[in-house]
Formats: sequence, structure tokens, C-alpha cells
Amino acid sequence: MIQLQGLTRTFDSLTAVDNLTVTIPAGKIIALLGPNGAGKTTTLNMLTTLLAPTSGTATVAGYDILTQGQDVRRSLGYVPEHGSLYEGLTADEYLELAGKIRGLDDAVISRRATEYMEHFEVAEARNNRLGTFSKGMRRKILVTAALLHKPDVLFLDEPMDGLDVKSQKRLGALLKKEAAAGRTVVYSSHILQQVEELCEHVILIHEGCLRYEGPLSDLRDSHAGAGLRDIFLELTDGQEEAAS
Amino acid sequence: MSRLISRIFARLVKTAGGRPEVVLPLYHGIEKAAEGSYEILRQSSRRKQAMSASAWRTIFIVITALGSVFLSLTMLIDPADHHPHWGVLILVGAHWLLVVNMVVSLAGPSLLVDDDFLAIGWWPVTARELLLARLGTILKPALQITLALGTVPLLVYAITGRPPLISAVTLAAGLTIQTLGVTFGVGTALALVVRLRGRRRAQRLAALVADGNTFLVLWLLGFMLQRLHPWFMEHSRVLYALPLTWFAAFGDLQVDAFSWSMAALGVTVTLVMITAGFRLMAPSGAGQEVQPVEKRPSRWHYSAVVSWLVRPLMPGREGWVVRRLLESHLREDWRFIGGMATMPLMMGFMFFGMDKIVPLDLNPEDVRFTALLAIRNTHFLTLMAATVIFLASFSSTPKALWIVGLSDLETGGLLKAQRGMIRGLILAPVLALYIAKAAFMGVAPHIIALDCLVLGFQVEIIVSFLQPFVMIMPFSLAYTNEQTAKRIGLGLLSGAVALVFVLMNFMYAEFAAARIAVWVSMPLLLLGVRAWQSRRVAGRRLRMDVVN
Repeated sequence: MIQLQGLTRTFDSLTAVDNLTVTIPAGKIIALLGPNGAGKTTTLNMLTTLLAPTSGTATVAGYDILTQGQDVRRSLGYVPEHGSLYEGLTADEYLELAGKIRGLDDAVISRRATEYMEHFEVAEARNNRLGTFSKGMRRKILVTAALLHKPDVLFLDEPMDGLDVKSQKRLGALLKKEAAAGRTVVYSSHILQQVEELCEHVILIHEGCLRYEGPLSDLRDSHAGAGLRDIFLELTDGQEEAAS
Repeated sequence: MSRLISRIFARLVKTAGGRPEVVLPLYHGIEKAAEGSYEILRQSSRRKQAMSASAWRTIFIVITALGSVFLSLTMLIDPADHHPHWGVLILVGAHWLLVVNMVVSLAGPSLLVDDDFLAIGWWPVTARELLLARLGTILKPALQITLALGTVPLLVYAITGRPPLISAVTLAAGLTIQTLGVTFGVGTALALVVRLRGRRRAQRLAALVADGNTFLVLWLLGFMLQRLHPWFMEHSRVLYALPLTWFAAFGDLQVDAFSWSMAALGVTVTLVMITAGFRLMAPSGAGQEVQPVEKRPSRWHYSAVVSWLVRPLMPGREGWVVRRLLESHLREDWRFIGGMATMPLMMGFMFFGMDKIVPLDLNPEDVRFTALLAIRNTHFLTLMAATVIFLASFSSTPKALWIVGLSDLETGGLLKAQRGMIRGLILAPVLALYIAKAAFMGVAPHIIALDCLVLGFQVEIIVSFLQPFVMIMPFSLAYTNEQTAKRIGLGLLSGAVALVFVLMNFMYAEFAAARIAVWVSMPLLLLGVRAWQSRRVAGRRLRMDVVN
């Protein structure tokens, strides 16, 4: 479970995330939605301890991001939108490093890495250096590294970016399986079709502020059967248009 | 890393407050990643050949080992009862300078830029452990340089030492402790910089310690010490109070209590640095800052002025493109700015500052035909011109480059623009300094003009000759240790080439026939090099596949 308590981050005069208070249930795939620049990545950066909040706090898997950063990191897996990799390492070497840092033994690392790489059909390239990988292949390796230690919480920032249709489907199936196993999956995206297919719970933010938080079905019911796209527009740009 | 060094390193990691089970795999991962990056670079090179950073380091170590033979002579000639023992002092001081230079050059940029944060910032690794892993990657070369520098002098000192053998053993121990102290000391200082200034500002400071720039600082320090040498001869005890010779007492067991207290201070500082200092400076927790949103850049920026000044030297579409790239680097890339600014600053010091240290005794006859000899070290200009080509190539601007890469720019035009950039940013400022210095010395204007022409020809020849060897679009590759090593290596090679120009300038100054030969040969040589360059680049585009 993840709890945000007045989470705020400002950069000079810009408030990127403004007083977010949300409770994210365990064992579900939760969509973190919002237009470009809404504050999704900043929120994820704070929840993954990459960025200190200006005020407020949050707990991830029961650990406070301000005072128990190491425990938070141990409990999470993260696939950043623009994550760089050690490009000189092969896929196997990178995953071995990721596993060892998290205290896994060689046999476990090898077994799980093979399992995920086969799922994503990149096992044949496991001895190639990451610097020679395509964008989609890198993402598959990042997802594998994030899942290797079976984390309690998985954060993904635009995970489908760069993946072909088949790989998107495989990743979707994998995320559903991980959620069914009790993991909390926070999925940041602006591609609403994927969100509708995968997520049961939605958090919608705009200009750093919370616009909606709750089950996707409730959101649909409250808008009389409108499509997610129309609801999204109404809760973000639509409001501005209405105001003007 | 051998098993023994691994065990020692693991113990050090524990003492410094890190977890060996995390730091050691991370250290091995960083090492493997560096090797892999080199392998990718090698595979992408046209001839599948590239010199690795470790190969350059090996050359440097071999040169150090050869140089240490001269140091061992000082161990021989020192009278047995004389204090201080100058051989020991020189060995300990030289070791300190070499290790500081190596540690700062190899680890400084990576520690300050903190790229690891972007790759594994969310892994359960503390900032301290990350720093320890990075330090691990330099501990081995630092120990290697200690071995290279110390072995021959210590063997000699085992015979001539006071007392023999035992003083050589204690001196070896002192040098080893000094290696650890300097490595961790530099690491702690850099961690403190990142902590106090933030990652973004620390990245800018990386410029000052990249590409061997620290070597210049140490080189200047050497000149200062030369100036202070007579004073130190009279107050030799003070030498033992300097951090770079704290450990000298380890090699001269008969020194007084003061010198020993300084050595004890050195050991204490090293221990405190590894234990308490490192723990204090490098945080054990998580929560590092990612790069904050940049403020909107101000409308006025000096890069626009520089670009305007070099505009006549960089004509055509290709010139326009390279100027745009140059502007972006002058705005953002402090490493590039640091590298570029160092050169005219160094020449300024050579022209105007060195006379203060080594007084110039000028005879009017010396400047009758030229001031090339009277104004010393002009040959460094060619060395700078050569290294700028690499500096400009290895300063990536990815977004702009893809657009550039798709356009049909002409190779000859790009090379011409690059030459124009070197003329504007290096040749012109250095010639301005030269003119000022020569005028100050009372050299006749026509002699100054001819000297400038000679220097201009020399720069054009060396740049035109080197350009076909770096057929990469200006500003296209990311910085790597290979690049730093390459630039240092190129500096050494250019130093050898510069000797040719030193000889040429000497002949030019001393013999009338040589002056005629220079004036006839230099235009012909430039034409020849340009023709050779045109043939080599004909039908070729500058490489875009390596754009990073």
C-alpha cells in the first residue's frame, strides 16, 4: 500500500506537485494519469526517493520516504521514463548487478532473468551490450531488472513507450500477473487505451493537483458512460476551456 | 582486482561505513561497464581499433616507471648524514602530486557529474556506497602508480637508506598510506562539493578537473615551488609540515621530533578521513536530488558575442551550423568551457607570469629578427590547437546533431569551419597575448607581425594534418574516460611534434638561411597538407553513426 500525505514539490516558483493526499490500495494496477507536465514523473521521483519533497511525505510498502529511504528502495521496482543504463554491460551482466545489489543469489538471478527475458523474447540478446539495444529492448531489460527481486511495489513511467504491439500485450499480461500476486503496480501513462485495458484504479492529476482518485468504474459511472478520453479532457483541459 | 586487493578494499569499505556486499559488485559492474563502453567504441571505429583508457594508463605508468630511475639517482647522491633527505622529500612529493592528478582526472568528473545516479538512483545503494565503488575503480591505478614510481628508488634506498633496508620498508609503508589518504581525501572533498553545491553546480565544476586540466594546476604549482626553492633550502623543516611531504619522515628515520609529529598527523588525517570524514561527507541515506527545472535562460549571453566574433572565420552553411553548436556548448557545457578557457589562461601565465618566477634577462640582440625564442613556450600553441580538435569532437549535443546529420553538409566546409573556430578561439587570443607581450618588451612591430605569421602557419599546418584523423562531426561524442585518456595521450604526442616547432623556431631565430627556408617551406607545407587532406576526405562524410 502507498499513502501520500500532502506531498508537495516546488521548483523555484513552479509548484510541480501540490499537496497530494492519496491512498493507493495493494494488489492492484493503478493508473497515474495526467497531461504532459501534470506532475506524474515528479510524483514518481518522490515516491522512489529520487527527489525529496518540499513538504508532506508518503509511505511506500509501509516505509516513510523521508526517514526510511533505504527500506523504500528495497521494496520497490522502478522503470523510469528516461532511465539510463550502464551501456557497456551486457543484459546478463546488468541483471546480475541489479540482483546482487538486492542480495539475491546467482541461481535466483539467473532463473528469474531467464524467465522474464524469455517472456519478452530478448533472451537471445542476453550477451549483447545494452549500448547496442533498441529503445524497446532496453525497456524490457529495465522491466526485468525492476521485477527481479519481486518487489512489493512496482512503479512504471510510460512503460509502453518504444514497445511494439506484441511486447505491449506481453507487458500488460505480466503486470496483471504481478498484481494478482499481491504487488501494487503504479502505472504512469497518457495513453488512455492502455489504461482502460489494464487498470482498475485511477489517479488523475493536473498542474500538480489531484483531480480524481478512485476506481475506474466509478469514474465512468459518474460521467454517464462517457469514454475515458472525454472524461480526461473534462477533468483537465476541458475545465480550463469551460472557465474561459 | 586481485583477491588480496579485494579483501583490503572490502575492509576499507567497511571502515568507511559501506557494505562490501553492495560496493564490491557495484565496483565490478562499473569496471565492466567501462570496458564494455570501450568495446562498443572500438567496434564502431572504422578499423575496429581504438586505444582504451587502461592502455593509455599503462603507457603513463611505464613513463612514470622510467622517470623514477632519475628519482633513484637522488637517493644515491644524497650524503648519508644530511637532513633533510632531498631524495625522500622529492619522491614523496612527486608521488602525492601524481596520485592527486590521477585520482582527480580519472574519478573527478564521474564523481562530480554523478551519472550513476541516473542509472541506479532508485536501487538500495547509499550515496556513500556509490562513492566508494567509484573510488574502488581508482584505487588500483593509484596503487599501480605508487608501485611504478616507488619500486626503483626504493630498491636503491634499500642500500643507501639510513638505516639501509628498514628505511626503505617504512618509506614503502608511508607511500601506501599516502595513496589511501589521497584517494579517500579527494573522494571526500568531491563528495563535499556535490553536497554543498548540488549536483547541477557540481557538474559545472567537473570542467575544472576534466581532461588533465588538473595537471596544468600541478604544473603551475611546480613553478611556484621552484620560486620558493631557495627559501625552503633555508627553512627545510617547514617542508615536513606541507601535506604533500607529511610522510617523508617514514623514509628518513633520523629526522627530528617535529618531522615525526607531522608524519603522525598525516597518518591521523588519513585514518580520520577514511572513518569519520568519509562518513560525514558522503551521506548514508537515500533521497538525492534529481536535476531541478532550469530557469529560463537570460536573453543576453556571451556565447552570442563569441559566435558573432568568429563569424567571419566560419563562413557558409557549415560555418553557421558549427557556430550554433558552439553557442549551445558555451551556454551549457562547462567541461568544454573549462577546457577552452584553460589554454589562453595558461599561455597568459607563460607569457606574463613566468618571468616573475624565472627572471628574463633580455638582450636587445635577442629580438632583432624575432621574439619567438625570447618569449618562451610559444610551441604550446600548436599543442593547444591539436587538442581542441578532440575537445570539440567529444562534447555531445545529441538533439541538434540529428537534425544536422540529416542535412547535406559538405565535409570540406565543416573542416573549414572547425579550423575557423580554432583560429577564433585559440589562435587569435594567444596571438593577442603574444603581441601584447612583444610590444611590452619593445619588439619592432614588423617583427611581431612576422612572428604572428609564423605561429599562424604552424597552427594551420598541425590542425590541417590532424583533422582527417578525427573524422567526427564537431560536438558529437559523449565524454568518456577514453576521451580524457586520448586527449592526455595526444598532449604527449603533440609535445613531441611541438619539439619540431621548437627546433624550427630556434633555427629561425639564430640563422638567416633558416629564416628563408622557413618562409619558403611553410606555405608549401601548408598547401601540401591541405592537398593531402582534400584527397583523404574526398567523397567521405563526417561520421554520424557515433553521434551520442
